[in-house]
Amino acid sequence: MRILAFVLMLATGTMSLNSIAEGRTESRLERVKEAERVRVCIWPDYYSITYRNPKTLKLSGIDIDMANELGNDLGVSVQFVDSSFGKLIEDVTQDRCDIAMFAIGITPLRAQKLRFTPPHLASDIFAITTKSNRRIKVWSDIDMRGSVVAVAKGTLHEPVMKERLKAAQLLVLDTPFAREQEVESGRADVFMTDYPYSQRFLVNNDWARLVSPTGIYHVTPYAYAVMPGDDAWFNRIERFVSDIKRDGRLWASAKKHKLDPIVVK
Amino acid sequence: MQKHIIWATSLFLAAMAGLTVYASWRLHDSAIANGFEISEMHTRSFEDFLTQNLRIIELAAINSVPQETDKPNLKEIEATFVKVLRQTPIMRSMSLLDERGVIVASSNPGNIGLSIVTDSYLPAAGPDQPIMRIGSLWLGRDFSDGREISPQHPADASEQTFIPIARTLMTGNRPVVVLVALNPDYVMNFMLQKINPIEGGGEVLRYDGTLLLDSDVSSVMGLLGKGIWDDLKLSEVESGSYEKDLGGGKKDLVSFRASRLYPVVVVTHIHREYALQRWMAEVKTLLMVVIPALLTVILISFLYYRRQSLALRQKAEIERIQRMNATVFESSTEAIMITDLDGNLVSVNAAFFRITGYEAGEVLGKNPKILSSGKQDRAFYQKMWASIAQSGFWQGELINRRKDGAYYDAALSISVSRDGGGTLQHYVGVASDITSRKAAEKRLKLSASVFSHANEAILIADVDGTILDVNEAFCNITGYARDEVIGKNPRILGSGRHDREFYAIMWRNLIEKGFHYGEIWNKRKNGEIYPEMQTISAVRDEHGNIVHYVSLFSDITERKNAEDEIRNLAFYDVLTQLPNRRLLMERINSARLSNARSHHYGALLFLDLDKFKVLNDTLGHDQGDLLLIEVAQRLRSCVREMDTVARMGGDEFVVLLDDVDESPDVTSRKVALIAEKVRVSLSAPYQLKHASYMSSPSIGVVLFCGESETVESLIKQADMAMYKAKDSGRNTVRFFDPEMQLAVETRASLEADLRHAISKQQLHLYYQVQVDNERRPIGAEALVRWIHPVRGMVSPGQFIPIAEESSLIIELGDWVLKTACRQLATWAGADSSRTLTLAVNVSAQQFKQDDFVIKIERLLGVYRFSPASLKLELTEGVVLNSVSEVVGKMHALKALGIQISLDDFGTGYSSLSYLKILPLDQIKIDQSFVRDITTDPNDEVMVKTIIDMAQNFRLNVIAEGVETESQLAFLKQNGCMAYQGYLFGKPVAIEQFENLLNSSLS
Repeated sequence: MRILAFVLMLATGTMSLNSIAEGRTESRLERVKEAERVRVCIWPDYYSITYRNPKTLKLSGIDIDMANELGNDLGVSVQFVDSSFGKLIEDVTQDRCDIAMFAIGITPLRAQKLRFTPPHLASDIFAITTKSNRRIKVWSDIDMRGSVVAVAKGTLHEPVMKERLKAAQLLVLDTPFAREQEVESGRADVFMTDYPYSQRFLVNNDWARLVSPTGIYHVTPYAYAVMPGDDAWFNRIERFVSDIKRDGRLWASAKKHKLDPIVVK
Repeated sequence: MQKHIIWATSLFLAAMAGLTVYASWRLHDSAIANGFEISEMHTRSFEDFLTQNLRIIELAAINSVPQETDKPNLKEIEATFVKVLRQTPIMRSMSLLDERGVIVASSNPGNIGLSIVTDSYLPAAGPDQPIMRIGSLWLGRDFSDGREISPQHPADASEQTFIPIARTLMTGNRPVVVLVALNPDYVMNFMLQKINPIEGGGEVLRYDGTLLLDSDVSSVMGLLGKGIWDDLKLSEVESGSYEKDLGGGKKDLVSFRASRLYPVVVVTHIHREYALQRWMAEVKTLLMVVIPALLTVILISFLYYRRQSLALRQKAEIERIQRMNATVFESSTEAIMITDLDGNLVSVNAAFFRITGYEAGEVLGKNPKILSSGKQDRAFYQKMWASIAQSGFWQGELINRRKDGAYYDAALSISVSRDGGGTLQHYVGVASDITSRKAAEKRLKLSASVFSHANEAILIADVDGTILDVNEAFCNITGYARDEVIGKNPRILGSGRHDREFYAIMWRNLIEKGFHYGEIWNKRKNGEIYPEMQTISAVRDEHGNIVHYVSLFSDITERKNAEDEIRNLAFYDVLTQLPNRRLLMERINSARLSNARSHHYGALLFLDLDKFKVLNDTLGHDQGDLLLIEVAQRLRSCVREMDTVARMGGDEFVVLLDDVDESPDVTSRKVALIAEKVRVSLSAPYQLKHASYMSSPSIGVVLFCGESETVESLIKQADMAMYKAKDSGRNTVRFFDPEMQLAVETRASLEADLRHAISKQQLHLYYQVQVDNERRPIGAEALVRWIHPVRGMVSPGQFIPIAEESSLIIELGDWVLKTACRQLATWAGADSSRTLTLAVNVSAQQFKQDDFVIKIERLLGVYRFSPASLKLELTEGVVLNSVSEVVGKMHALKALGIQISLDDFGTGYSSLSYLKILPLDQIKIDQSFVRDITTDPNDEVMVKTIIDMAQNFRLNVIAEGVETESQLAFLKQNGCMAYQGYLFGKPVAIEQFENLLNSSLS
């Protein structure tokens, strides 16, 4: 319940910011329809959300599903554009994609640059370590002297951990799967991720071990982001979000990807 | 059979158990083998993984540094390092050491400038040998923040570690080293994926035994893995497996494998218990199947066994019953006969032969009619067969005949035997010889008859004394009905008169002798106590145990009464009811005994009624009896209750005064008083039937204390005293004294001697001269003298009374008379003595003889002398008894010519009337008058009167006891005519007398 209230507050905050950026005459909505495609920014390393299987190169995840649904709703094809949290703002604002759909955590920094739809997911922060790591057993073992915490550059974890770690060393990485490499090689003790990523990661990597926060550490609402200043586009996307929540498409997909525990209704 | 079942079951169970154990054992071995296989498989897998990764490291190291140039671009190398590291998580960092051992390039900038010594890395090699060597474990994430772990500075397993690996390369001609920090966690993670720590673990050791990594958290990193290393024997084999005992019952299945390229060994443990987990589960499952199966087998076997046992038991039981039946058949004392339907015998038992006397060959196939005695009529048999036909059974008694023809009583039952379908098969007869039973029954009836009709009461009790039965006589005697006593104890008859000892004796007799006989006082129902004569017998069984007591008794009340009566007669006087002599003697005896203890004196009073005989003679015996009864009553009233008054017989009574006083003086005074009281009482007038009568007693008393005198002598003493009292004039009391006794004894002795005195010629006749006025002898008095051989001369005063009392006087008198007559005859022969008279004393008894006169006459016929010379001297006593008779005799004597003199005249009842009636010739003045004739005026008058009287009656007078001249003168002067006394001569023997005669004549 508290999570929900927080999410709503953030949502209202972004709306007021978006209204300031109004001024463009031609809506992206029309352009998309004209081009008969919508460009969707994704992060292909994002398990369960937008993940590209390296063996088949096929995309899967809840937001792949939702992007396809959006394409359907709009009657256009979907073009996925690889992005990452590090490049998110740039990719959206530089018009490399029409919408970023990879469960983007709504952070104040991002909210200044992007316009978020109402959140459809919300996740706390989780840590992944190796099975053989004997020093990190519980959450409180993480923030210790000598510990190395890896985060992906640009993710919502980067600012949160920067702010909250007191003793441990924070390692910010920007190469794909760098967090996992660092932890597996022992150069880092844990890396920080969210619920969807951790769940999927644990399935695929035998050496990985999940360290959950005791209680709520830092819940972040996930939403889609568009370039601010295009109300028509935003409204359409907002309607889409409302639609998928209402007609169960979101829920069905979440269940498919075992994300139902973090769906925001 | 049963044993077989048990054996088979046991064998099967043992085989099953053996199989199970064997299978389990095989499974166990297989599980262990499987464990080893798994262990080896993991080892191989780990070794492969490790070797491959080390190989990758080596290749990465080789490829990261260009080897053509002497001066490589360090930046490029570093970029390569970073690039390589992204793909190989087993490496934490890569660095380049220059020839001085200083890191000049590294993926981790923090490592640069560090100086690393790799000399101790294995395999040991020179600095320019292009091979990969493995260092010992470092603590930390990388060289920049780590240190080398040594046995002196070991690290905890939880700490982060890395293994340094150096690859020597030749750049140009210079050797450089690529130093890699190997991430052990990478290997560890691989191991952990394969082996759950619960199952086992793995280790990696360097060839010098240093533990490089261990899945066991408790291990100490970097130390020499001594424990493991010793087991490996790497000099011999590259790989192997063994079982390692960890202590505490834990074992590991260990396998090891050396890397095929590098100096490291991979070791894997599988916990033995884990390896056996599956086996344990299987064994459990097996047992869960096998045990219930075996239990089921046991249960089934048990049930089968039970059924079999039951069947066997039933079979045995049937056989037993059959055997029993056969035994019963053969050993039965009753004859058993089985016949076919025609009535012919098909089987008989031994008892049959015994009873009938037939033998086996003689009866089978025959009809039992052979036993028929003919004593039963046709109707009997018709009735029997009718009963069998109707009810299938008959029972009765009949008389049969043995083979030898003897009859016997038989109790016979006949029943029919049918087969399972009910068809008649046989007749079965069972007969017993009841001849003796019949006889016994008769005896029993007789016994019962005796029991019920006996006059004697019969009581039958069991061994506890409980009454089982009684007969009618019992009821009649005791007054109890039969029902009232059965079940009771005979104690209800107890009178309470007998003490415990009495019954103890009774029981002792019963138990020891088997019977008890005696009198017993019992109580009737009405409370009356009566005497019984009882016999109790113990009835024993064949083992000698007492089973019954039979008591026979009769009421002996009447007999008892009769006995009492006899007792009374024996001890009491019938007339007076006083104790008799016998009882008196007993009482005196007991008084003596008690006196002896108490030292008290007792006394006997001997009473005799004076002149009782006269009463009897005059008034009749009935009056005499009345007097005696009255006397008895008066006597009783005079004495204490405790004293005994007894009748001795006739008119004699004895009073026993017991326990009077301890002082003889006091006793004699008290007794004197009582005796006087008795005398007075008995002297009072008696009122008899028709007249009043006066009587008096003479009482003799004797005192006694203790046993010094016998009972008889005491009575005799009292008797003597009584006689003394009588002698003292009757109606008086005299005490016994010893002198009296002496006299009596002397007298008794004399009496005895006297009996023989005549025959022994101890008696002599003495003669005392009698003279006339001229002193001329006119005759003599014959006086008998007893010259006792011991005592010498015995005075006639002594023995004459004895003779008188004992009737010896007759004999004595006869002898005197005869002797006197013979002397007279002698005297008659001579002129000088022919005129002499001889006076002979005749006693009263002698005179009383009926033939006295005839005796005299006969003497006169024998001895020739003048009858007038014989002078019989009679005393007054003779005359007194019966005057008429005396007078008649005297006249008869006178007629013979005999003279008669009255002796002792004046001493008794001398009466003038006698002088007138009696035909006397002479009277003799008693010497007692003569003695004092000169001094006593009374005697003088008496003598004068007598002489005058005699002269008046014309009788001669003679005085005796004349001893002095003055006496003679006086007598002569007063007209006396004859004299006798010492003055003229003492009594002397005949010779002396004749001398005296001769001298006087001359």
